[in-house]
Amino acid sequence: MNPTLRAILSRAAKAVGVILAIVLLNFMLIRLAPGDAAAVMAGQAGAADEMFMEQLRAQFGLDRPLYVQFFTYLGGILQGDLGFSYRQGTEVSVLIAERLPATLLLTVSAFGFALFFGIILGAIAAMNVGRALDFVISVLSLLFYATPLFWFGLMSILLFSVWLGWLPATGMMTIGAGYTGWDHVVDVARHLVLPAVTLGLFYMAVYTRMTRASMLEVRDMDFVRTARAKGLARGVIVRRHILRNAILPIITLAGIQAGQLVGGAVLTETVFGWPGIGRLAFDALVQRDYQVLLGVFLVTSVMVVVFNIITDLVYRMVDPRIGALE
Amino acid sequence: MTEPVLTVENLTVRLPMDADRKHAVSDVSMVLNKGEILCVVGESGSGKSVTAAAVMGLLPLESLKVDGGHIHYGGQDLLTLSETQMRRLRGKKIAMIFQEPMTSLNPVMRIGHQIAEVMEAHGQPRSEHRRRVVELLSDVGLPEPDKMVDRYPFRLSGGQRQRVMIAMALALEPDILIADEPTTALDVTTQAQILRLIRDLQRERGMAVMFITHDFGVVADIADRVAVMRYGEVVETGLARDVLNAPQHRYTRKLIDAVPGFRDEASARSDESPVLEVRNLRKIYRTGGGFFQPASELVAVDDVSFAIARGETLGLVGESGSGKSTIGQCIMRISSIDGGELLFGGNDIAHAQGKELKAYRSKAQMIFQDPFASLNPRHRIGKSIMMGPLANGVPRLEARQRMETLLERVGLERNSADRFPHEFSGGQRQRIGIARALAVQPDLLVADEAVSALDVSVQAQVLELLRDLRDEFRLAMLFITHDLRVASQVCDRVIVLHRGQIVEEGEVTRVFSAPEDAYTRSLLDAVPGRTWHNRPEPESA
Repeated sequence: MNPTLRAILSRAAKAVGVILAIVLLNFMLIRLAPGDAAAVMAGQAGAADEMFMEQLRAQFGLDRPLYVQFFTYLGGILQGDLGFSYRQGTEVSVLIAERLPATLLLTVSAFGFALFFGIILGAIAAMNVGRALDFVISVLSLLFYATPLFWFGLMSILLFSVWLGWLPATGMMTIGAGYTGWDHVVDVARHLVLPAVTLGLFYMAVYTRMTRASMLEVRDMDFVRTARAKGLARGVIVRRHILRNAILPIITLAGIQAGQLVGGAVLTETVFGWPGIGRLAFDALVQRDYQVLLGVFLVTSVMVVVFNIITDLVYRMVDPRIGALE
Repeated sequence: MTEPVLTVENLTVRLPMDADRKHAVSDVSMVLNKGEILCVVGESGSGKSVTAAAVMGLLPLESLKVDGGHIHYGGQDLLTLSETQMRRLRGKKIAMIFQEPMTSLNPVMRIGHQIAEVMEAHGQPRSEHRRRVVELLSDVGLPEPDKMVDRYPFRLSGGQRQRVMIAMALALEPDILIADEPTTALDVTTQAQILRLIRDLQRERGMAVMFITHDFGVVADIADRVAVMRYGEVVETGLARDVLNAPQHRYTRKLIDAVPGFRDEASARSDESPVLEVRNLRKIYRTGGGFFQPASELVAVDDVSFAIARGETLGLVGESGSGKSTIGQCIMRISSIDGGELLFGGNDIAHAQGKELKAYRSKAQMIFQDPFASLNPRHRIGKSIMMGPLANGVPRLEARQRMETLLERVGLERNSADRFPHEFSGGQRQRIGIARALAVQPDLLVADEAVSALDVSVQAQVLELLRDLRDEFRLAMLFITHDLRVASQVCDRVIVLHRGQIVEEGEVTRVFSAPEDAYTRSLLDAVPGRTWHNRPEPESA
């Protein structure tokens, strides 16, 4: 079997186990909270007697043993049924499907921004180590690293939307403008800038610092000296020999963080009114909409697992040793 | 023959202010003639590598600065050239190979590409790269050159990687090849092959080679002329046979005397009872294994049996991958064991646990290869030495006394107990390692390549110390080494290992003078400097 295909299959098989465990854990977690869905519904209805509660429980199968409930839930998931949100009056899967693209757009943009600029800034700092440029980059990255996300969000809204009026402050598109085609793309892109940058800044700072440290380490390695002895130009040495090797630990870290970004999006989406899955989860939590919450948990954990598999595959591509050593 | 291609004149390179001496090299002059191999010999810190780096223009700019002198090549002074001018010479006119083949190649780049980079850097047409690379790979004797082109370095052994480095250096047929200890990290048989390759290619192409080494055996094998360096100065230069057989300078003589040779007088047979008896030891390394693939197995030690008596030194020799270090680790119970018995004082401790294992560990100690890495850098050395006895319940006062006596015994000052490892030289640290091992008063001492990282003069002293201590404390010693000359110096009996199996075993002078096994013979033939007539011949020729 092709080794890459084998790796994908092996990862996928492990991932199924991981996701099953997550589903079970989430299910138990929700049940641990005091009061069940019937109590919540009754509470929201104003008042209810014991009879009505019993009726509700029987209606939703809450009177059955826990393991039966779990397998019913699991069976539903396997058929793509994530349950029904009584608050919103829709299928949970529909709710999530509506919101997921927005979150993916936000996180992928933020992630791309963080990686691209993080690596470039880190490389520049490493190549100018000890000079003014290195100092400026290091101080900036420390600042981005240490400042809370939401503060950045609020300040950038204040600066770029309120004072300068360059970029829209909230939402994903201009409501009521009815843009189509290219105009729509530009409109979304303009809305995307602030939340994506805000979400990405912290990670950019991490990658900047890591790239810098990693490059300084690789710079002194024997094969870099070999490259110099060949008479290669400095640019080629930096690009092909130093950066190419220095980037390996950053890929590992980025893979882990790509999953975390989805979680980090909750804050950003709230601050910028971005209609993503993070907002959905936040609202569901406040409203005790457990079915929605469970659905969001499931989808985000699947995304983390998928990101990890992608990282593994990318790593195999950039480091030929990985595939061979298995 | 005596047409100089490279002349180093009064080269002086300054060390940083906080270094222990002012200059890395001072007032060094040497001439490299067309078509000759000049060996630059010296111990660590002699400035030989700095001289080479200065010629290549590869000195680390922040720490080492050229203070004066000239390096003449092709009618110009290399020290006055700009970085761009220097870059045009590097790899094209002057090429270099390095000591560490395992780390000298970029791990994530195909071999063919790495070689082709030299041609690319010096403007050779891209269309010819591949054909030329395949040609070079076959010139340096690599198998399947047309497949080798697309491999990554991790697929290759150390010797093969060094061949790739040589192919890279020869790509543009340079006038000068600088080789900085290119065989030091290799096994003896591989070393012999690489030395022959370098000599053959040098003759074939009429290159001038500046060969840097610490090993007079290597010098005897390949040098036309020699320059001996010490503390950044050249102390003696001359034709190889003159320097080797009639050294003029006192230091050269001292260095040559320190080179371990093969011993003549046989060791007496020990009648003492064995301290350790190893029976049918087996160790298997398993790697990988997952949902869709079986694990792969490597038998590292295959049915090995031997015994070591009190007061006896048993040598374990073999090349890398022979299983010699694994045996040492199994005996120390650092590594798990897949079969066999380890009888220590009559008890099988192969699977001992808890108290029994702890009791055994206080009787068996190990000295490691790397004196830099095997001491905790944050502990004062006195503490490092006392930890063993304290852990075994020796009262603090007694442990302290023992530590101080041992420090003196291994040739260090009593008051050095309060210093940290980095304040000592490599040889001193190895002495500390020995004191640490002896502090628990062991019966068995396992020395794994204990002198391999040391300079020859220091090596000779540490070997002397080990011999004395063995006799004084009646230790049973297992001496693991790849260096047959060292084994001959210190061991009574020797075991030759090949791929995890014992191929030959016996009294050391017998094994080395009249080997019965073909593999032992090939190892002995590969020992550098075997034909150097000033030295005792291992085989009665």
